Amino acid sequence: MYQFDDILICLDLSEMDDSLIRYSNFLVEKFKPKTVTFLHVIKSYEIPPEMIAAFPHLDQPLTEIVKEELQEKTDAIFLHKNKVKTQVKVLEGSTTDNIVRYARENNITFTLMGKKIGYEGRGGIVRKVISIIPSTVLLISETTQPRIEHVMVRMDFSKMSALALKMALRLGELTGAKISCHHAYKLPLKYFPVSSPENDKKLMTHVEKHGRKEYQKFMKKLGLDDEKIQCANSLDPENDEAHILYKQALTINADMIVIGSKIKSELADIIIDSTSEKLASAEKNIPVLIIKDRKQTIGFLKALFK
Amino acid sequence: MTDNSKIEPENETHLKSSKKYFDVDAPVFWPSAAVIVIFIAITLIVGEPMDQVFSSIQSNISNFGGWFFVLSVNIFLFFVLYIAFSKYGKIRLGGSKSKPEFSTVAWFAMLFSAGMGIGILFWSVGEPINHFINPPDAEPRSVEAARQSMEITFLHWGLHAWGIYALVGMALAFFTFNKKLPLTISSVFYPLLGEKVNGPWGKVINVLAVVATLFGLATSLGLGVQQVSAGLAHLFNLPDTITTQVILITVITLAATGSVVAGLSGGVKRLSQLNMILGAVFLAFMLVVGPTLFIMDSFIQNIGGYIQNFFELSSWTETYKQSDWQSDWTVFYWAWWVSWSPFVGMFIARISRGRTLKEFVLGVLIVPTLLTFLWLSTFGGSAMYLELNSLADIASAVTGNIATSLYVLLEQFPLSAVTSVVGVVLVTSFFVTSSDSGSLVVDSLTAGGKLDAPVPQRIFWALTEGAVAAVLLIGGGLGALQTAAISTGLPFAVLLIILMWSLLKGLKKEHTGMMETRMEAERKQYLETLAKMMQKREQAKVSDQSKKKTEQ
Repeated sequence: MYQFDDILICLDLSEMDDSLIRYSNFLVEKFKPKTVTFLHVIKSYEIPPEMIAAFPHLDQPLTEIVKEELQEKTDAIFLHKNKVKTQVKVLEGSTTDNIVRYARENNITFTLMGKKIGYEGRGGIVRKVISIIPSTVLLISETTQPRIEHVMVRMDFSKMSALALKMALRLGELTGAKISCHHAYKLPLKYFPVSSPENDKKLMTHVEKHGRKEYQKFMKKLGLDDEKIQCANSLDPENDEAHILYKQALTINADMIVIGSKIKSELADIIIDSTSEKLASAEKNIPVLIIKDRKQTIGFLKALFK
Repeated sequence: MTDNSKIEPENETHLKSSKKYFDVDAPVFWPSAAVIVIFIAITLIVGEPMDQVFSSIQSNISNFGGWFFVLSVNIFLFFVLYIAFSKYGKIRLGGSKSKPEFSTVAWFAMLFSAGMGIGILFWSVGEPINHFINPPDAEPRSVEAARQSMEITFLHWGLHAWGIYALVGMALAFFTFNKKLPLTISSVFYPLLGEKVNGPWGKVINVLAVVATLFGLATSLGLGVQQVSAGLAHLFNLPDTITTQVILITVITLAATGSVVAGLSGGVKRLSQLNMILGAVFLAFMLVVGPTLFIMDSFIQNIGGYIQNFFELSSWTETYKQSDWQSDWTVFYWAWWVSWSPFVGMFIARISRGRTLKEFVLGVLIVPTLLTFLWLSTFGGSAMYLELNSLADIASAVTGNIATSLYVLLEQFPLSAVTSVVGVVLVTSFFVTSSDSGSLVVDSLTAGGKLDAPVPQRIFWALTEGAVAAVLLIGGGLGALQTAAISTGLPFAVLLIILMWSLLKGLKKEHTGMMETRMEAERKQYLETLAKMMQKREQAKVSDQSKKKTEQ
């Protein structure tokens, strides 16, 4: 899980591609992967036949043309093709299905995507892909700078938070980035006459104290020092954890948010937790690294494609 | 009959009339005219006993439908707020490329003008003082009664009233500008009724809207004429009787008709500007010569009190006290605003093209409400100051003849002869502009949504409004006016609830369309990129082939 041997970069033929290729240079320098794949999926069924007919002299298939174009682009921007095995792949069909299938079949451990990718409405493809892809996904925006200096981990003392923290530590080893955690807590529901500003304050102090204890226990279990990696607490009064995390990341100048994403299956659909989904939205331009429980996701996928 | 289904989307021919004298939507015009004429005839024939009929109708509707009005106005307010802050808030009136027709400052000024009118001149002194001497839940004339009276007055004139107008205005603007449907109430039901809005159901809705607007308008005009009559009696000792009031209605209605003939850009526009200036001067004058500190203090405290007690005030149904206080006041106001909503709604719809729904709702709710609160704090607050400090007896005027309360207040301050005349002039010119623009609205509703219906038609409605107001005064004075508003407000409130559903359906479709357009744009861009790649390759191929040919 904490290996970056095979990296997948999803391109969509938009201006975002330049940013993604440029960022992949940085990833190769830091993560030293074995393979890097640049993947684009053409929705060939959406291409009108008259568009093809307008170019009668072309005897190459469209996938070849796009592949050559992307090859030219990566040749120009990607600087490490001699150090790492690099390939450009162009597939045809449904974008989500192809990306997920490719990642699964090729044991991709790390996927890089733009926060706005494809044309399925605002981040539709990103949302679908991050729900079902078994690999870790890094989402960056057009303005993301290639650096990882301060990583903030979303902390809720769960198994997924442990995976996220371990990933952050690994990133720290590779990049020298500082690690910190943030725990956004909610107050339990209460009713009049229990609810009053004084009682709320007392309750907040109590919950924060409880949070600190939980964090100590959590770190002890992982064999880590809770003094070295600080965990900040803040109240999430409006049940909008994504907003709290994003605000906190801006305050502490974190340049990456790492989140262990819980997934759940509802009938035939797999749904990612809403905080990951909200952080993945294009409006929030701090990169988000979404850690998946690979075993669990593959289990879901098997059940889904059975 | 107008053909509503054939609408040209870009130029707004659906809002223009082509005929010279009468251009009516017959199934709406004739039933509306018949209902009103029958009403006038019965009231004139029956005479005084109609007073009892009116009061029994009013008390029955208030007693049985009071909770419904209270619930409905809250639903309307929260519904428009939901629209503003939901994904629909980004929808722009007139389409995504539409630009605001008026600058924000001009738009605010026009919303301010919508917030002013006969009603506020009539009630701004009378209502707070009435609640002060007859509070629903406090010791009369106490400090608590003063506080409570201002809060309740704010409730009646505040966000709920503007929530109703925002709802109707938003629906009218959305379906007229975005869906290119005629400017009529029935258009708003298009998502539910489809093409049936041009059939009997649509006509019934429009008839109801016409009758509600006309009675709402007549209530305002009736109040206005009572106040003018009281002013003249106060200033020149003229007899303040129903006969004087009817004569005044006749004279002022004729003046309004003159203004109608002069046209929108001639008569009404100049008079409206005059109203705004006079109103602003009147307010500033009172603010300066009145107890300025007290007024400003009360303005702030009243707003705070209103916000603090918002939910309690707005859901209060007088359940445990079981008196008629609320039916006389709160229920009357809710019904009056509901019946007045097509009128104000149409005005604010027409000035709001190019605004997003969020801007629209916030502008319509906040701007006029704040102005109204300042006006109420200035006039009502001054009267309250005099009463609390026993400096004048405004209360007797309120209990005696509520229409005189403004003049009695003005008497306590310098230049009262001048300000009272200004007061009478202001009410009169408000009467004229309300009657004129009211006939414009009713005219549009009965002409299938056209905005420039022929002048004779407008004259007809201006005269009818005057007649309804006069007849209501003859039939039962203030009580009759209130009954008119309440009895037309009730069915219209039911209609507004269905309207919300219809509007939501329309907005949902619009939003989906917006998203699809965005996706389509992305798809188009993607295909363009692919086409460019293919073109580049093809050009390379062709030049390659021609090179080979030349070599051969």
